[in-house]
Amino acid sequence: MSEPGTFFHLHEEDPVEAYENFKLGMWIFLATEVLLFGGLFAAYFIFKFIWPDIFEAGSSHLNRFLGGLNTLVLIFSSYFMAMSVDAAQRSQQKKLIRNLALTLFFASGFIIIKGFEWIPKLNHGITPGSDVFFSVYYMTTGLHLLHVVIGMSFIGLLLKRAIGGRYHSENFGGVEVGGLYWHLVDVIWIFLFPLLYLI
Amino acid sequence: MSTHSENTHYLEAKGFNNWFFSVDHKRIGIMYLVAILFFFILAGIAAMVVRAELLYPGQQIIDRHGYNVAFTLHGAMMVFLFIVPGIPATLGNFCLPIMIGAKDVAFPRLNLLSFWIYLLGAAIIVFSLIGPPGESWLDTGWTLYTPYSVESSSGVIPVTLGVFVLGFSSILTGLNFVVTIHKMRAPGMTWHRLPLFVWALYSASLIQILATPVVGITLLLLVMERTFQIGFFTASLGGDPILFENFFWFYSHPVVYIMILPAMGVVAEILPVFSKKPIFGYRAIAYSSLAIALVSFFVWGHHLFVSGMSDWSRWVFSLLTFAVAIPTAIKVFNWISTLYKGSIQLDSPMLYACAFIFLFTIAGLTGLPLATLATDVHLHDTYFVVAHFHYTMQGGTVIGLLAGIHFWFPKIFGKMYSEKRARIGFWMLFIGFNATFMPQFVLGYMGMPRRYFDYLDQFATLHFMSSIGAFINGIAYLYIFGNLIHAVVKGRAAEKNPFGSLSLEWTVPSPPPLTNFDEIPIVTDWTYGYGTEQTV
Amino acid sequence: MDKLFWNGLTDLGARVDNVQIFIIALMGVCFIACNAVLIYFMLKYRRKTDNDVTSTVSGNQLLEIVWTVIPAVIMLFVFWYGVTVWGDLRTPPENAMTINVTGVQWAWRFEYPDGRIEAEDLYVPKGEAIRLNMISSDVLHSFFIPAFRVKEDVVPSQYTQLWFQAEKEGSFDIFCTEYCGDNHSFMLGKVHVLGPEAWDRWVRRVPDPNSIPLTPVQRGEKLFSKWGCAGCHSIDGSPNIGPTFKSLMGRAESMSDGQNIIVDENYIMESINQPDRQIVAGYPKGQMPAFEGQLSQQDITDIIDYIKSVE
Repeated sequence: MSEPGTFFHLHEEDPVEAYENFKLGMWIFLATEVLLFGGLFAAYFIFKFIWPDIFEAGSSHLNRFLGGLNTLVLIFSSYFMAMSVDAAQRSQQKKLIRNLALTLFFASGFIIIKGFEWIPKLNHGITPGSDVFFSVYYMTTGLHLLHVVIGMSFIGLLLKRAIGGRYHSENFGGVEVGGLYWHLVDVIWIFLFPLLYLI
Repeated sequence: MSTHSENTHYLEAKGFNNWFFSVDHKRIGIMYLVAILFFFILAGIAAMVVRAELLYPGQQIIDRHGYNVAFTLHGAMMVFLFIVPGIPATLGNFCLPIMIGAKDVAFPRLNLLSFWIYLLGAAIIVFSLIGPPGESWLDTGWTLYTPYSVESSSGVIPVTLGVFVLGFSSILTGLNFVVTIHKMRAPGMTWHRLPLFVWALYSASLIQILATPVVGITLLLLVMERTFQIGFFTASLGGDPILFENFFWFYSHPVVYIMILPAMGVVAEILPVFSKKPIFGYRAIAYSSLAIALVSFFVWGHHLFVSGMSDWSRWVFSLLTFAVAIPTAIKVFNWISTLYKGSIQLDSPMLYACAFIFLFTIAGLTGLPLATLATDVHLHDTYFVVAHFHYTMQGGTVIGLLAGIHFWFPKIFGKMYSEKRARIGFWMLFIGFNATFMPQFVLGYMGMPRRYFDYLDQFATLHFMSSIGAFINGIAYLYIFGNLIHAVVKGRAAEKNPFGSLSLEWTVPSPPPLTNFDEIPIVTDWTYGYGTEQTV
Repeated sequence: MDKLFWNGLTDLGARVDNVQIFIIALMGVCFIACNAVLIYFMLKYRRKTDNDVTSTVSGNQLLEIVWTVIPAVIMLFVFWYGVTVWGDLRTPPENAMTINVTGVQWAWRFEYPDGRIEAEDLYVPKGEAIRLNMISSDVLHSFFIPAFRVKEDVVPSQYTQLWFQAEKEGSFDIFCTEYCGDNHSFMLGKVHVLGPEAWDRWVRRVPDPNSIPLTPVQRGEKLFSKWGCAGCHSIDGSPNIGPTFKSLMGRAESMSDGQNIIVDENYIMESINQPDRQIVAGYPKGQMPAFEGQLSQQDITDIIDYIKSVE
């Protein structure tokens, strides 16, 4: 059998220290995420500069209503995430579960609306290979969607643990760090929306 | 929390589970060491094939496609599987927590996870380099330049995915180290008491964290390009092949400093110990690491001086590239000054450290004509660049790694190697290495382009000399590793602190116990107080 | 290449060599200075006893400043020196003769202003500024003449340029220096610098009537009559067995399978190679022979250029 110090049998950690480490680690990870999208944003500006007309034509094909709706939905979701962190800090068990569930609800709304945007486009033959604008469009929104899905799995895990009664005023690091990640996903969309749909 | 098994030293436990599932930073470091040296040898074999092919003009042992595969294998494995994880994941993992007085890194599980991810990425890369079913061996060169990599029939997609996966491993290690250095320092271990190796790891980790995501997105785009023809890098679809070069080097230039900074840190650890003197210019060395990390992000354009990039960008990047030379020069001057009025013991770690300085001055100075626009036009993509690069990577990083391995060997394994054989190995390597790459500077200046399977007669003599040097170089590695492996198995037991270092890792037994310290030490002074009455 | 430095082949190359020599001298001085001190210290301060008295000095502010500022000044100077010479490398004289260069896997193709085409070997007159206007038809290449110290990548998406003015007659190597696939190391050529008489002879050389330099449209017209296209395709709009070439390019046509297409280069190329794949509605299949494999890519391009000119 494995002795202490293996993956399944960790040394004991000081919870305060672990919380501090966890938070700093997530902040650093967010920096890497920003740079990941930074590459795509750079590509966006370079190609928009070279092909302004393609970008204008492509942008006019996008459904601003659905894009705007999604922005709202994601902001709501972020709001409930913040409320979840607050609830965890105050040991309000029921409120925490409700807020996490609402976060998840709006996040799924985002995915469904995204589906209503993507599927008709793909049916009309507008694919990532159509032109440079749609390459950028599908790459950025696709990568963002992937992050939404990852974030939702994270929140789902938090929800499961919250139902098990794991989070309270002495231990809310998981919720807080999950919240950090979810806010980043929101912030990236808030940059993507005007760049792709409005400008 | 002193249970029985936690008092034993980390090497004692045997068995797959105790290692492969271990979150102990020392065991992970050892597993990394074994893995990267394995790939080092594989990639080295590819290098030997390349040099054997180039012994004489015309075809020798493989055909032109085979040659292209061989140099791609050599480059891709050396860069992605050996030298990027190189020193941080091995010596860094092992020493960093002990050096700052911690029981482990900040995220032990994440540390193990990044090793698993490394193995996964390595498996994908090896599998795809040698050809998944239906695709031929990768032949794009490790740089994967578009449009060739979009058109090539070889397994570009799996290799790219493999590198992407390795990127995660690299980011997680960097993240782990940064948090560890910020949060896990023992009481009294202030920033200005940190060993310089830790400063170097910190700077390298910052680059890993900030540069790797960009290559990640670039490689994803390359995959999309091949699958969906999205046209980011393909001219006929409105894209720009030079954009790939820009993105690629935005990562791959800083990554050169991920490779070299830790080696510089190792040298800064060794010099004071073997001259019994405080390090000279501690703050200058520490901050120049950070300065190099910072500037490294703004010099990628010097890889594109003849690429068709705008003239304006070319001279801006030339100027910025010269800026990197300054912190590098500062380091060299401070290292040399450390020896002044010391008591110098030329044991093998010190020999390697001094050789590092010697070779690194060559590497750095030959960077000058490459940074200068007028001369780079002539030297770009010739053997001059190949030689310059290998002086930094082999003469720098690999020599630094060997210096570190010989230095920390007694601590890591609790055994001592044969010093005599270590010195013989060192001299073989030193001679073989210079014999390989010195002629290549001349070849490059004569105009010999890189990545050539065949060459014109005027280059024959120098190529022959270079190949002979390379074979000596290869044998030297076998000899050095043979000596070390022999010591692991049969070496005599090492003392706790054979070289008289004042750093924290030498205050614990050799090999260290599983939890490093029974009690977290309290630090009252910096680690370089040699020759004075103060001790740590 | 007989001499490593100052081969005197171009004036600008000699100036590049001046920069190079300057840097090599600088490198030499720095290298020797650093390592002489290093080795001197290593030998002089060798450990004699285990209790050697060592200095406890751990830094010197003044020294740090000195060895930061001095390299910085030197670096700035080298940068400036390099940029000035490089600026001239990047600016061809206005009267330079422009030769179009195409890089293909794996050969160089040179097209002169008069339409003359050379493959692999570039002929230039001595003492005249030559500007190469370069593009790739596939992957990245790089055009390199070591003897003249010039190099520039050849890129598919954009034209790049370099220039030189050869001052001595002779033949010099051309290399491709950007990895471009299996035959990268065989993508070689020669630049032949010709004296005034040899150049005159080369320019006026008319070995046989078929190789008189023609413009692409003229070449296309010749191919048009040589292959008997006029038997079925009119150029004045009159009906014939096949569609007329008059204003063909860009015309909307409906196909026999009901599709509507706009005629472009790719459609014409397909119709030459495999005419029956997409036939214009109202015309019979099987009439036109498939030319696949009989015409070179260059011929097809020339024919397309000719068809474009028929209005």
